[in-house]
Amino acid sequence: MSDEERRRAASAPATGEEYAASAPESLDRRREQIDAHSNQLARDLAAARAELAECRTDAERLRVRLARFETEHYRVCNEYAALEQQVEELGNICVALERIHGTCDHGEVLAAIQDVVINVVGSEELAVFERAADGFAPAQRFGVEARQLPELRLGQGVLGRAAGGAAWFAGDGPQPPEHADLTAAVPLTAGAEVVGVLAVWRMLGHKPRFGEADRAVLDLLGRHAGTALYLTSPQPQAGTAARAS
Amino acid sequence: MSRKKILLVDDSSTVILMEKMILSKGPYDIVVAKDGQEGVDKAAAEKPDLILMDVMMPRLTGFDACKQLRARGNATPVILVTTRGESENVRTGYDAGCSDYITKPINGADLLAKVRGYLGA
Repeated sequence: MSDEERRRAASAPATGEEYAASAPESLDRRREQIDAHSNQLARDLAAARAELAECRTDAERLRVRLARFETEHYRVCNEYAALEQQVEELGNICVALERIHGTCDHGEVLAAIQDVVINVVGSEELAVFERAADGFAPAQRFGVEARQLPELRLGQGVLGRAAGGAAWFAGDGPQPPEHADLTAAVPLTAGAEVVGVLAVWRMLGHKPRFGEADRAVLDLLGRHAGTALYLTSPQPQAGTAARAS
Repeated sequence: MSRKKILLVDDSSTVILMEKMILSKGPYDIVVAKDGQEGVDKAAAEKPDLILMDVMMPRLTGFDACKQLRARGNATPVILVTTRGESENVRTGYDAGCSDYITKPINGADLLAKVRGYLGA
């Protein structure tokens, strides 16, 4: 037998007959070895399963923690967005105030009112009525023909009630049939005196809606623009303006 | 890093105030022009990195001002600021050479996002 044949014979698995022919003590020993190995494998499997269960528990705990962080992150983002919106609205109010009070010229105050309504509120259809000797007369208009302007009679209709100090905004009850496109009728006041009325009709087409921030700006205009108009009026009408109801 | 320069072209003091207030949140130097012609002149003189241009202005509209800028070889990005968001108006702006547009009343977050898109954060 060559060296190569001897090596092959030594490494070749034993046949069943060879096993059967070997001594019983060898078989028992082999059996014990296999049992021991099998038991070790079972212990290893149990340990692996225990570790897997622990990992799953950890994963679940981390998942819950991640969900909490995501909820908190979402809440903080929403708060930040709301604050940004508030800052923008305050900025718009600052701009409106600076424009209204940045001049001593009556005409420029009227122009500033128009500018604020167009560029801050977002409407290109507006008119300012001012208190005159015999009632209220249009003093400024944009996007509305003079002949289209309604007559303003104190106490009559939405505009007339605004002349008496009662502001009206779209959404405050039913839309008045005589003003289908009216968005706001705002009294312009100097203290308790109504010195004019600001009427705003349709919003710009791309503006989503007339909102609370717009209402706040118009409220502000009502008070500050009214005062500015009164103070810059060529002939101050102290005591003769309609009193706000 | 050097600050970027933005030219605001608008005849409305209200809009200028709003734009300045919004852009004050970023590292930008602001130059102002009160009408389209002044806008064209200042674009040549100040060499801004971005122009915010109103449409309806005295002396020269935003569309015509943009056409003049392009005719002079000025490639500065121009964002039109318009009350008219209709597609026809926007198309007219693009035909005049404008790069983008934003509608009035200006939303601060939208304006800042567009500006940062052209100038970086």
